[in-house]
Amino acid sequence: MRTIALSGYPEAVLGRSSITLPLPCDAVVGDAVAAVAAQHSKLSPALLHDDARPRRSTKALLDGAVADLQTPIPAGSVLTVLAALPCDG
Amino acid sequence: MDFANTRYNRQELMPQLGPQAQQRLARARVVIIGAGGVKSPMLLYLAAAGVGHLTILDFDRVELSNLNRQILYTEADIGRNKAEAASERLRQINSEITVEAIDIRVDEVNIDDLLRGHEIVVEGGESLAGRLLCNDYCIRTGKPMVHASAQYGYGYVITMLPGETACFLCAFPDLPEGHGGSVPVFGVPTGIAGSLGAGEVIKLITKSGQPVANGYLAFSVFSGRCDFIPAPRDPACAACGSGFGSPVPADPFDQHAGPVVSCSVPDPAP
Repeated sequence: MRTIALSGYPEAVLGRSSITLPLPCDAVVGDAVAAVAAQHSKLSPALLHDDARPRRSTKALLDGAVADLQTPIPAGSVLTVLAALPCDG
Repeated sequence: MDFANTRYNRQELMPQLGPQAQQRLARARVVIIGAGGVKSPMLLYLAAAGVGHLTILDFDRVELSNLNRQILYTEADIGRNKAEAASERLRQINSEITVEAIDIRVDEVNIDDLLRGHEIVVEGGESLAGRLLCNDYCIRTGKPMVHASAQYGYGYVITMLPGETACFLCAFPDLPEGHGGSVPVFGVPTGIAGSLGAGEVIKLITKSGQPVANGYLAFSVFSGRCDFIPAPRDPACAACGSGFGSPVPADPFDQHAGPVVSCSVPDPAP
């Protein structure tokens, strides 16, 4: 199990700053984004295109640095998933 | 300069601003699209700082449900046009500036006429299409654009210097359609976004500091996070990428005042 920090829209919609997901040891960032969307379907349109490709506006931070979808998630690292959804409330 | 009981004394004492920056602020003309949750604190701070001319474009009316965050307005303003009510409030705060209110929705037909004559555009709109329309206008005319937004408990701020830094579409290339309108939100994130956005405008006008550019600030009130998310200019961007050259001032005001560029970015060659 991995704890994924949430930022922006995912954090706001779920009302929590992190979730725990089953991820394999060799998971990459893209796997984590897909897993977040799968576990919380209401986040899916913000994170993914209709064909399940992650949006380019969806960002992942590994230990605070932007990581691309193919980056492995090292043990002990902090992964944050951010779905950018600017809206002037 | 010593402490004195004058309107701008406390900011004129700042090394980043000073009397010369105050003169720049007084000469500046800024157009703001929308006067809602984020723009309320932004407009208050811009007016209080002495930005000489503010044009507010908003077709919307004040509603009771706005008052949890749209701090420009009071219960007495319910039903009034926001641009009109905002301009009245801002004139009460600073009678030395000009505030122009226009009750209108910005669209592809009127955008050139409405935004002409201003050196900085504060983007806004109730839809993604509206934001991209404004982004395109600023790229086409070479005007700096500031974006500040908030919903729920989070928000974003980014500044675009056309031809030099990432535009809105570079930073947010594939947002989902249809997001906008009424969203859950409270006043703290709109206050933060609006304040940071006002800071961006003031930095651009005074040529002080560095803009939040080639990336955006993403903050969250509840998690206490504030991250700079890098988003460099995309050469293939549909808005500012292919075929886009150096911006040419097409606006008489721009030619009079010169380009507005942060001190962190070299002035373009004459």
